[in-house]
Amino acid sequence: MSPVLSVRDLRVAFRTGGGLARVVNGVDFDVEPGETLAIVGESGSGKSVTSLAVLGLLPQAVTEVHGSAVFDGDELIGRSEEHLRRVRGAGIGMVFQDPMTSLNPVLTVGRQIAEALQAHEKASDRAVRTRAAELLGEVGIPDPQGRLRAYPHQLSGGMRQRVMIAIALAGNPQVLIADEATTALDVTVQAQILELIERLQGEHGMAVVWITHDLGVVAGIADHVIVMYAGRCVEEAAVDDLYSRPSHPYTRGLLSSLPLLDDPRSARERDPLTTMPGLPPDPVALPEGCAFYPRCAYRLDDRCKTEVPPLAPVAAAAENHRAATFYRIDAADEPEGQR
Amino acid sequence: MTGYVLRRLWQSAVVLLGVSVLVFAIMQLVPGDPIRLALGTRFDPDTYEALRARSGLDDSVPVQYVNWITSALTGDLGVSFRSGETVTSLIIERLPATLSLAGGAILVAILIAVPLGTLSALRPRSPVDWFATLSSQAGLSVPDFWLGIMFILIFAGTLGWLPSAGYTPLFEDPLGWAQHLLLPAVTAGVGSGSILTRFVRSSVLEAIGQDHVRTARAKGMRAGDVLRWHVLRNALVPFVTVGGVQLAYLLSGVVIVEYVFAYQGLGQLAFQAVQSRDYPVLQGAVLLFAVIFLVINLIVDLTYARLDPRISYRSSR
Repeated sequence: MSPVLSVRDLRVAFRTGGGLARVVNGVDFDVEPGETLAIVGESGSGKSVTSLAVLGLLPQAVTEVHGSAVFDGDELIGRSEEHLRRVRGAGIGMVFQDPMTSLNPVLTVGRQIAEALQAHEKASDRAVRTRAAELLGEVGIPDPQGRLRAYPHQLSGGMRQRVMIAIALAGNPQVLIADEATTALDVTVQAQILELIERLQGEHGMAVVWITHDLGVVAGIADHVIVMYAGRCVEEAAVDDLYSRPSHPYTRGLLSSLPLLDDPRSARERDPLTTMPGLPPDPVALPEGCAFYPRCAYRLDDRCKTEVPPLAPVAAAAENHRAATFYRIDAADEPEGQR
Repeated sequence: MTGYVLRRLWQSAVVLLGVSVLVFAIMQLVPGDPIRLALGTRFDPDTYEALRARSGLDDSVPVQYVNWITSALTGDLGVSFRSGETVTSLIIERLPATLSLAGGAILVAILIAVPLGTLSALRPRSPVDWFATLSSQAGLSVPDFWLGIMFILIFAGTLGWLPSAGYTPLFEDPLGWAQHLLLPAVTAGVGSGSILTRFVRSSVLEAIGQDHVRTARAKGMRAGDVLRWHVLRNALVPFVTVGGVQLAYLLSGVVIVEYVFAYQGLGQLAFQAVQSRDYPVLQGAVLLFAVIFLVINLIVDLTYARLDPRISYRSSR
């Protein structure tokens, strides 16, 4: 199967007062039809910018985008606004983080769904209204007909996010990008939204790209995971491989800062949660070598400081599990102070 | 909603009462005797006394106030010292001129502000933005009497396209009405337009940065539709506030512009009343301006609820 979305060497930089901020520095990934890809990283790692750049949703005046993003055989980077407009919503749908600010407060829910329907095909008002109510029903909103007239502030956070999902579904996209779609929600509601998107993914045969900082969310839903740091992909693997054999020091740091609910050991025996010291690098002044070098517990020598490690298979046996580190972690050798 | 309107009307009545006391008090402080001024330098003392008594100026100040305000409530604002006509009829006579001027000027202001402010917000730091900033600065700095005189010199004098002065009622001569209106409306509109341009620019810039605009683009909406329904529509709420204040200001008689163009509106009426110490006319005009401000503010507040569904007047005061 050929990937529905294929991103190669994507680079994004913002022109700022302090200089050029290199936010995405050569990202590659493929999204296969129907699969779930998770892009994981902390704030500022470039994961959201990557998805916005693919759809041309970044402010053009201050942004430089290079590289390639091929959707359904069609290059998107550098294309005209009208060309991208046809892809937005209809080819690739997006759900954003905060459903309160992502919906227009002064327009009804029905109208905002209708806009998404009418952006790509002409239809009678009546047909659009019927379809909008169907979509609301599909995302699990009770009394869809009545809710068409509601304004966003009259709905709960979870309901608003369901409306956002209905909007994203309106164009019947092949790829749904969920950018921190559960981050602003209560934990119980998060689970409902995750479940909803999984169900819709099955029903519509969409590929889903989850963008999140939460490795806990990823574990249950993703097929494939990409870990981003300072605008680069530092590790990619099938989800099970990533959790069982995290190979980049950053991924290990992320995983060891997660509490494990099913840890069989008692609280006293358990390792304390570790935190990673330091902060991500300033995108205006990226380090010359590995961007993670200043925070890395496994850093080797001057090589890490001067040379950017390429993304390479972690072992001969695992061709699809790749990490961008010179350090090869074997099960036994943990440095002092870790674990 | 009805409760809110009633409460606002009651508040307005209290404000108006306060305004009327203030206006009346200030008139008492103004030096000069209106009857002496009306009679000229050589007058008959008996006529003078008779006129003072007839105008009620012999009564104590509180009695004068109570007499004035009770008849004002019935629509009787007294009689002009100068012309002998009732103040109400003078105001009604001038009202269409001022309505035309204010309407024309606010139209000019909107036609300047909305396109220019929107364009400069869409292209920050571009030549358009630079031009908008500079021209609105110029529009604010240039005094309107100077602008008016320049317009008269150019369009009425040199080019001879438009009349330089006067007002023609709309129903007598629509073309003449428009010709007489154009220069004063542009003169008065430039100042308001400059204020509104800056305002449109900042509120469009704010609206454009909202997350829901990104959502609208991500839906695949056309750029024009995004601008119309997700940027301008949302920028309308703050715009109505400032636009309302500008309209109230224009309706309250643009004194200088009306004076420059010898345009017979309320501003000119008030100005002449000051010159001739015509207290009843001045009091009536000022009271009317206060009513106009209150009514427009009420309309603006009610418009909010129509424009932004998050604003509700049911429980709030």
